[in-house]
Amino acid sequence: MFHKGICLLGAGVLAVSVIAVPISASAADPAVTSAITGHIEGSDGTAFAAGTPVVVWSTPSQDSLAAAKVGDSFVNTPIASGVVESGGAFSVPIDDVTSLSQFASKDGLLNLEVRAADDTDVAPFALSRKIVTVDGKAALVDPGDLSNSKATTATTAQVAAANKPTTIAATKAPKSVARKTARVMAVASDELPVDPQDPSQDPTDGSGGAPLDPSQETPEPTSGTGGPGTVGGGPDSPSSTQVCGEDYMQDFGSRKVIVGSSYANAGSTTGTFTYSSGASSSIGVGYSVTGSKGSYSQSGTSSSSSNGSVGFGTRSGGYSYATYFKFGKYGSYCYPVGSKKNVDSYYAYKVRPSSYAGGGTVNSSTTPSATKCTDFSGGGTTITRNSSGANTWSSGASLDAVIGINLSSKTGYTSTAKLSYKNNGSKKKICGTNDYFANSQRSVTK
Amino acid sequence: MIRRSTSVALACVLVFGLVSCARASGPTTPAALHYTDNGLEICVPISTHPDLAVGIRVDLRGDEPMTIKSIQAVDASALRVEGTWVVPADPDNRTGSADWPIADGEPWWSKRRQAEGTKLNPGEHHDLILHVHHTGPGNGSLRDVKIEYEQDGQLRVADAHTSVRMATGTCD
Repeated sequence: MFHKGICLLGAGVLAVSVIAVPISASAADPAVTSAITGHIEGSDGTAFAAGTPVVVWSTPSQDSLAAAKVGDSFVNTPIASGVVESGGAFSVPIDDVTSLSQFASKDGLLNLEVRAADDTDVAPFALSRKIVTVDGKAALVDPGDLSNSKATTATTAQVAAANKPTTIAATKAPKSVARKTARVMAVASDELPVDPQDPSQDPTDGSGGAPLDPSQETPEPTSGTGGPGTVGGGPDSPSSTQVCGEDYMQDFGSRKVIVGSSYANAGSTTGTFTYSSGASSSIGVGYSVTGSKGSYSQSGTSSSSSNGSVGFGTRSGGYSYATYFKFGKYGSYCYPVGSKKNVDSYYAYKVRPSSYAGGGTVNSSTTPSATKCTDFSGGGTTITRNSSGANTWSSGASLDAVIGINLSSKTGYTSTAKLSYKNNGSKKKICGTNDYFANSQRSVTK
Repeated sequence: MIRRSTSVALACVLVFGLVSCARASGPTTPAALHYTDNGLEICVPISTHPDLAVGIRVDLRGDEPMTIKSIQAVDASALRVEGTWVVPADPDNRTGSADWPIADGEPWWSKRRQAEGTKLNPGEHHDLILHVHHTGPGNGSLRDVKIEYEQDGQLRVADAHTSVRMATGTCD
């Protein structure tokens, strides 16, 4: 924080000025406190009822997902909880960010999930956060806001951006599923924060710990998110009442994901997009109550990084650039401690990226309207964008063939995902769709 | 004149007393200039552009006027900023990168003012123009441009997140 003093002398007065220089981006920044905030809308458009528990879970990290085989099981851990307030708003503070490193991938990336449910609707929402240091304190930021995916520090403004509310649209679910989900959230919420010294909690009491459907049993989960899989620190914890997680059910293979575009429409100009190792893309996560094709809707995103580089060439005209990620289908479960998992009682299914597959493809793309222009000198001038803003492609991830919808994709321009235009001719213009080139989602030379 | 203000409060008290240093608690208004971008590089071959005009938009946030105090080329090497001006700008057609010299016939260029000391008001659109000259030897570069300005009695610095490279070969 910048609370630097300032003492300006008036004109003609002895020039003894001692002046602080507040850095503009930080001048009004809030304290470094991380939170997950949002607003939940029911499937009928009304706000979720006040008092409904909201729980934030850690889900398998990208490292865990990438290493998994079909049939593997993960445990998820509730890390913080809150309740829906009037009007559907919620705010879940994340007090102990440092402790979350046990759930993160090796590059500090967390896959999280917000969940809430009432009698008729379920509201899951996926998001990724990166553990960084801000002014010496651990905090969470949206990895898409970092100019470099390997960054380990961030600004308070980036923390504030990650704390901004998101809207979660709930999905109507069969009553049994909605109630089961609501019960799971109630239990998780009740048991956060956990007092590991409290042996009084009955793992099968009526507050939600009743077996969900123990008729079919499978072995305990074999792989985790890096930490305990149950509320309260593990299945053996005296305060645990339920085990929650997800099973890797199906490998959907490599799917095309759009990561960039260029529209070098002016004569003598070319566009070049590069997607290098470490580049990070934010890709949609699809949820379904039944898991059948056509039943999915997107709710949230997951951040995935490349571990290889793709060159798309130098091009004139309008093109979109895509690379490939592997996707998988996962079934979410919860069962009481002391019981066994019932594979027929998944309360939700999700489809998400599991790892980077590599490769690239280029497709022609219709030029968007772009009216925010700047001069672009010729004679070999090259302008390169490696900042964070980027276009969201609402159908950028091609999953339609397997789940009935495409998911969104978004790749920020960073040191590992760059867009350049070169002008070998005379003076031209470079125009952005929503802002000038430096901040625009898409850009066109004219 | 810029100083970190570790001893600001003490200095103010010593010179003026507490009342005259009432604003020492820090900025109370949002910074007029803020660039959210993290990186834009303009590269020109020296063979075609031994001199270059670089435009940086100066659009004020909030409702406070500001006065430009200085323009700083950060980590400049083998190039020099020969001059800086402020010109009125069409919000849909900014300066970006342009050949130097700028033609005197350009109506907006004829309205240029020296950047330092120029007062700008909210609601107006201006571009800051830098004349960058390659001095050599070898590739020229500057890592960033910082705009130092006074707003509401306080000195602030905005990072324009704009770098310039002047290449002895091509920019590839």
